[in-house]
Amino acid sequence: MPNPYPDGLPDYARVLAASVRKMLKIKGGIELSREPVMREKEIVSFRRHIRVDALEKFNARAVFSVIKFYSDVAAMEADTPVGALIFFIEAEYVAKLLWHLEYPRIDEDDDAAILDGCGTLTNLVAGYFVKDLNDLGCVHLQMSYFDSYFNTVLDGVAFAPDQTRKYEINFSISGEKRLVAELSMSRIPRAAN
Amino acid sequence: MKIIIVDDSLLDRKLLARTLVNLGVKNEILQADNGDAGLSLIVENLGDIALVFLDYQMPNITGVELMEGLVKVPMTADLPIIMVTASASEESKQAAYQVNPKLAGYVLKPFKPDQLMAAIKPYASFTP
Repeated sequence: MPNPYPDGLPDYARVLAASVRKMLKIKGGIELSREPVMREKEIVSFRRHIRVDALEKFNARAVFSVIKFYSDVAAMEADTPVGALIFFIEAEYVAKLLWHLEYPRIDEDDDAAILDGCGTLTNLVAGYFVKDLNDLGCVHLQMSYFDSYFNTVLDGVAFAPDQTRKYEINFSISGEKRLVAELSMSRIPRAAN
Repeated sequence: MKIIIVDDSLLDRKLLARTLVNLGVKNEILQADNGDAGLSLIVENLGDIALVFLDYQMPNITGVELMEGLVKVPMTADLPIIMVTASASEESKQAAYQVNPKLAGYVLKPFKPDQLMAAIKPYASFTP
């Protein structure tokens, strides 16, 4: 029986949760210690940008990266995203996670390396996510480059203007919440057969 | 001859450089973290470049935009270029080949050593 076509934000969030699980397993042999916890939330926005606060995710210094998705190349050139992924990691866990995923070792006291590492991981997750959506019948979304920040971003993050809801997904590794993904996404067009 | 890697992710540059060394590549490897710096490196080393890796998604100048500039100039038009990206989009791949029909390769992140080897083999020098 073919996989169901993902149709709407809850479906996209489930695909994202599966993509993160798959990336961790394939790249580093890492198993989640419990099922991802998914919550639908209202988007708190300011001037069409999502307010982002990483401190409320971990109660510790955190880093996050943002990648925007576009339905095609023309939308990317016009910077009209169909959605956005925000990927949060507790700052002191970034170096350890990268090492498990077979990336070169980075200095955990080097802020630039931590920002870069979080962005690299988010890029990887986004790549898996876009491919998994495409395998399920969605158009192949275009991805932006990543932007990374510590704790908060004053200007917020651009998102699809018709969205009022987002999904927050918590991932636990070795019994502790280690990663959080936030996803906002308008309806993705179907891929042509 | 040199290999130039242009990617905004330091970690991906390090990973690619390490993978090339592990594959036995003996070319000197130079790195740039954005399109402007990459262009400068290419200009400085013209005539001594075996291969250029360009990341597709970079701020300001994307890999495709940089490549478009390179193929329009006769002195850089024939540089072997391999595009690297985390996105397996067929549309992006077609756009890259449209800009540069002589593109030497289109490699997906995370890098798989066998795919990388197949792409670099005609251009890189290897330790015996």
